[in-house]
Amino acid sequence: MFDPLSAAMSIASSGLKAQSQRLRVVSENVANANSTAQVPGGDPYRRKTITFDAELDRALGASKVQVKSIGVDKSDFKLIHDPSHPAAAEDGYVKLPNVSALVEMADMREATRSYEANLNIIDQARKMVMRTTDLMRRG
Amino acid sequence: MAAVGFVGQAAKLYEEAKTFGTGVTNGPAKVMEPSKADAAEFSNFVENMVSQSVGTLRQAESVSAAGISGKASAQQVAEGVMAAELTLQSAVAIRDKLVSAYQEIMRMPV
Repeated sequence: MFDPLSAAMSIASSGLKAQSQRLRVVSENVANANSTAQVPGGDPYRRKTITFDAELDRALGASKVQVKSIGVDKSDFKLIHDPSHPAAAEDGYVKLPNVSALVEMADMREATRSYEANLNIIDQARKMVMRTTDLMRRG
Repeated sequence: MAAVGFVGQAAKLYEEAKTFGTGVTNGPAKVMEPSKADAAEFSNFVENMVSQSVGTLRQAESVSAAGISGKASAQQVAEGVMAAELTLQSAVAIRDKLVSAYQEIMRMPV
């Protein structure tokens, strides 16, 4: 029943939403790349991860994308020797977040590209609808 | 809603014009004559279309307002406004087509 072109736009819009959530997570990771623990020897900021999931929209009869979960990266923290740091443990080592700037930048690029792809779909669907309604104007 | 009334009236007049014509011509015209139910269906269709597009426009308006106050995301605003734009475009195109069909009948030499 639903117009496929409007459905395409709606689905692409869900993609935009998902990718902006992804960028949000990347920005959290980048901003907290140097956030250490509050207490000496404690754990610093743990890198967040995001996973996506296909979601069947019953009204639309098509699969949209949704954010499945925002989890944490369980990999090891970086250790640096800095006894003067407020968060340093007894042995003088400070735990730094397991955030890698390179990985975050790659993730950001991917989010941007996916966002652009979804934008292109919306643009294309809009053009197709416009061209079709233009048929009624002429002649 | 003035537009609905106008189009409904146009449909009725159109139907009247058709039945008026059948009195003069015999044969094939009878086949083309629309029944009353057809005309009602047609004006219902137009009415539904218009009220649906008004609904979409209202939605776009409320989403835009929510977007300005920061309660809706840019994507939601763009989606709503674009849906309204496309609905309005097609509603206007269909209306133009209907009106021009009506005018075509009006210009017909009797």
